[in-house]
This record gives sequence, C-alpha cells and structure tokens, in this order.
Amino acid sequence: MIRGVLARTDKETSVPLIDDLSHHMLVVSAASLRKNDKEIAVASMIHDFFKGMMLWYQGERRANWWHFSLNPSIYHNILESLKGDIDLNKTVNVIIQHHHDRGNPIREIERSRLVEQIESNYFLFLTERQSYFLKSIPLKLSGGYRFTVASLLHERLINKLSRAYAKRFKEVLGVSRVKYTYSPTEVSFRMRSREEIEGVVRELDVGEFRVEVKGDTLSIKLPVAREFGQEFSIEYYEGDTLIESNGVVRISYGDALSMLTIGGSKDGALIYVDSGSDVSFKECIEEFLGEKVESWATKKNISVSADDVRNSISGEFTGSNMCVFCGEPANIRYEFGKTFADTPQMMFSGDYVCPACLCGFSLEDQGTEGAVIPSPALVERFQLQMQIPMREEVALSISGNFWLKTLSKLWLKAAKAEGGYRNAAFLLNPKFTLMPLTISFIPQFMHPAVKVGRRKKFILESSLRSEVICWGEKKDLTLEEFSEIMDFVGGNKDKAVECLRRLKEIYGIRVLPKPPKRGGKRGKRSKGGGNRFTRGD
Amino acid sequence: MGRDPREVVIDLLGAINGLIDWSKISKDVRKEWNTILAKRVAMLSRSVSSVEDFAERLLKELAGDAIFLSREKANALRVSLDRAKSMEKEVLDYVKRYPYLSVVFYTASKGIETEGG
Repeated sequence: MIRGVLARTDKETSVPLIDDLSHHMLVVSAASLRKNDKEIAVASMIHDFFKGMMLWYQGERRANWWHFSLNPSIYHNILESLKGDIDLNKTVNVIIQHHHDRGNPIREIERSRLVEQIESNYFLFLTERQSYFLKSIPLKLSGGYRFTVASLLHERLINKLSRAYAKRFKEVLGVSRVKYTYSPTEVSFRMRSREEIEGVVRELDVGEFRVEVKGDTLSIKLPVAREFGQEFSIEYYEGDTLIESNGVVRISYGDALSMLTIGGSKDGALIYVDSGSDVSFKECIEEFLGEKVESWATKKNISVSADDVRNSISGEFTGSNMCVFCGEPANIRYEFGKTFADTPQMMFSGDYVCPACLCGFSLEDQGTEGAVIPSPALVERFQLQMQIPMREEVALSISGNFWLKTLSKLWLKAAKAEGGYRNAAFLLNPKFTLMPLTISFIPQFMHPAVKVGRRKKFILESSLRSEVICWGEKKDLTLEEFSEIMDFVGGNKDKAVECLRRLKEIYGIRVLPKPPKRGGKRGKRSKGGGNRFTRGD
Repeated sequence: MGRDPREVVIDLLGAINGLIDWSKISKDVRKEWNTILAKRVAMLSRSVSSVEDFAERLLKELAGDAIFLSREKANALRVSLDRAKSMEKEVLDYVKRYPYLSVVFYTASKGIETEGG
C-alpha cells in the first residue's frame, strides 16, 4: 500500500486536492532555491510539519487544519542537529510566520500560482508575475503525433531536470536527496480546541521527530496520527521513480517538479519549478532527433533541425503549407507510400508534414516499439477515513496531476518488478492512503505505436483516454473491465493471484507478471534405491 | 433473489463446462481451452436471446458430441439455468458486457487446471 498525507484543501471550498504533503513541501522548497538561502530552503521543507497529525479545530468562521506550532522551542528541538550549519532562529521564524508575515518567502511561493499549477489539474494562462516561480514551454498539441512527441520529450526533460534539481539542492543545502518518513504517533484523531492542540504538541516526544543530514540525504521524520498505520517513507532524488522492495517510494525530482499540462484540445505546456538553474529543452530535442529520427530522415533525404521541431511543437513555426496530420504550418514534403491511408491523407491532397508530426510519424514508420506513457490515474472511488470537516464530493475533478501520474508509474513499475505477482492484490485492486482518504485508483497509460504479438496500434488511433489499461495479445484490458476486476478481487490475495494467472492466459497481457506454477517446486526424484521403507533404513 | 449477476454467470459457466468431456477433445484445443471458451462466449453473447439459448449454443460450440452427461451434472445445469433465468436480463447484459472477463472470473474462482478444463 502506498501511503501519504493529504497536502491541503482548497481554501474557498474545503475540497481536498489529491497531492501528498511531502510533495507540496518539496515544491515550495525547490522554488525557494532561487533565493540561494539555506535557511529558507530548510524552512520550506518542513513548513507544514504537523499537518499529518490531522489536528482540526472549529474556528469562528470555519474549521481549521492546524499544522504549525507558534512555539519556537519545538522547532529548535526538531532542527537541533543542523545547529552548526544553519541559523536556527531565522529558519524557525520563517516557519512560524509563513501564514502571517506578508514578506514571508514561503507565503510568497504558496500564494503564487505555482502550487496550483503543479499540484492540481488546472491549466492556467499565467502572466509573467504569476509565473515567477515557474518555467513554461508552450505546446501545440493538435493530433496524436504531437502529443506522443511532447510526452517523449517530457520524459527526456525529466531526466535533465532531475540532475539539475539535485545539483541545486546540493549547492544550497549541501545534500542532493530528501527523504520524508511519516511516523505514527500515539495521537488519535478527534476534533479539538485550539488550546488543546498546543498541548498535544507539547506532550509529543518531539525529539523523535527530527531533521538531520544522513550522508547525502536530508532526512525528515514527520509525525502522523495513529490512524496512519505504519511508518512510510518517500524519497526524492535524481534517479527513476520506483517502489523499492522494502516499500520505500523513490520519486525522481523531474517527475515531482515538472508536468505536461493540457488545456482544451490543442493547447498545452511543459511546466517546471524554477529553481534557478537552466535546463535546455533544445538539448532534449537534439538528443531525441539523434537517437530516434536522424538516421531514418537521412535515408529519406529529409533534414529536420532541433530549432524547427521546437518552434513547430510550440506553435511558433511558420510555413506556407499545412501538415496533413495536424493542420499546423508545415514545410517538409514527404512521399507517402501507396499503402499509407488515413483520413487526413484522403481529405488533403498535399504531402506536407510539420517537423513535430514528422518525428512522430518516423517512430511509427521505423516500427519502433511504442512507449507506454503513464497518464494521471483515474480515481475510482475514495473514502474519508475520519470525520473531519472536509468536502469530498468534487475532489475528483481537481485531483492533482503529479500524484495521480506517479500512481500510474508506480503501478507499472510494480507490474514489471521481479516477482511482481507478489503485488497481485495491489495490481488488480490498487489503492493508496492519502490520509485521511483511502483512494482506489485505476492506472492510465497512453500506448502510442504499440506492437503486441501480431497486433499493432498506430499513433493516430491512440487517443489520450484510449480507455485501454493494458494491451493484450488476444484482448485488451479496458477501463471498465479493470473496474470490474477491482470489485471481484476485493482484498483477497489468493483471488488476485488466480485472476492474474487467468488474465495472462486469456487476454495475453504481457505487462502483467506471471504467477508461479501451482504446487511450487517438486522435490528431486530419487534415482533408484526406493524409499526408506523399501530400503529398510 | 438479489444475487450478483457475476456470481450467477460464474456458476452457469461452471455447470456448462462440467458437461464437456475434455478427455475426448484434442490436446491442442485442451491446452487453449480457456481462451477458446472466452472467444466462444464473446461471439455468442452478441446474438443470444435467452440464457437457455446461450447455454445450448455454447455447449454445442465447445463440445459437439463430447458431452459427459450424468443425472447429477444435468441437475446442476438445471439449477444454474433456473437461477440465471430468474435474472435473465442482468445475466445476459453481464455476459455481453464482460465476455472475456466472465471466463477469467469463472476459471479464477474454480482454480481449474489449464489443461483439460
């Protein structure tokens, strides 16, 4: 079970935004790196320190979610081990004042549109002032080829960003990794008075919850309410997003701090937190062209440059012709084979292709094994575990993109992991706890240009929501079927393993792990000599 | 009354499959029996008008003459059919909606060995 703590609710509506607390604090901290200030970066990393304890009280106007103490000594204890490296008074002051002081750097970041963009599904056209903590690459996503290319470029950007963020954290904080551990306390949830809450924190053994440097990692142990269950860790680092066998979730900085957002049918943007370092999108395109497109293009006597692809995918390309695939300006003439038949080809007489679609088309024409691109998971249902003043009814509509996409990614990693059948219950009835919510989700993927056995799916046939969860050699597993499987499996592990076995056989789904043969290993047969009875031992 | 159509479909597929004498069917077919069952269910579910029609045609498609009929098995089929008829619309809708999945659930529930039904 993947675990986390709900980051926040929408201020006006009290609707929960499905994002994890550690991610929220990381986002704020990464944005604060622009200030090159160690104290602000550390304060940002723990500014909502007590939120996981679910301490709620009824205020005069509305219920409040208490999450920071005004008692400085508590933070001095938490940060004790960093005493020699940072100015504790300054750090503590930034935390305590993060809601009240207008000039507070955390407040400044939280009130910018950055947090809304990175943590929600909003697609916002931002002014320069609003996007101060964000970098944005506009995209024109008309058509399947463009979306596929944008997604593949995003994957490359994620790798570059991960390295850049790790470097920035190292420069400012002296460590390149951050690990959050949610550790349950004895405190149980119930509505409290404000005075009572300060008492709860005073009684808490704060010494147990601390921030310390361990090797190259800033380790942060956060208190959570007893109902959370067991300790759980989420680490942000330079590498790939994955679940380790011990249950620790590791998330790449690039995944956590960047996003491909879509607005309407054509507009989109690649956005990422501006930490003060430059990452070149053009380099991503150059690498992509070098690896995937150039040799194919040379054989076809076509030249395509990184600048053209960048301008094309950003909607800034000018050309006198129209692309047969997306209708955007195009300048590359391509001789389609006689066997190539598609609607645009029939509608337009031209043979011109824009640089962005050419890249997508080349992948297909080369028969490249298509990528499985995780998309934000679908929240199937959720349950509020505690009676707290939170509106849950419309949370689905503004669920956080990052965390939901990460769930799809983690599901895929769990499926592909060695001995993945041990995760059968999770794979066929995936759930995660985002305290105080328990969420059942369906992973979502795009499968552009997928080939499974003798079956092939063309990019232009793939839609963003193809409703196909997994491709099968005999039958695809659809969204509706997955939901039915979740219901069938419930929490029964044996049923899940058996169901996994049958899905492999009947659907021919490759991505799902193969359960072991029944009965386990047979013992070696003795070669002659009979058994101990016949031998007379 | 008030039964889940999924349970009824699983039960019905079990009763139908129980009548087939898999030992008389060629090994190649036996190896792929669950996929073949799923394909037949998918094909028939589009056109059947009643659960009896479904059971009869599925049996014919799968077994031909290779039916192993005993009073006990015939009774089991009768009970399953009666149950399915009591919620015929829901059962047929379910099979039409999830033909492959019905077979996955049936085989998973019974934990039957792959070869030989």
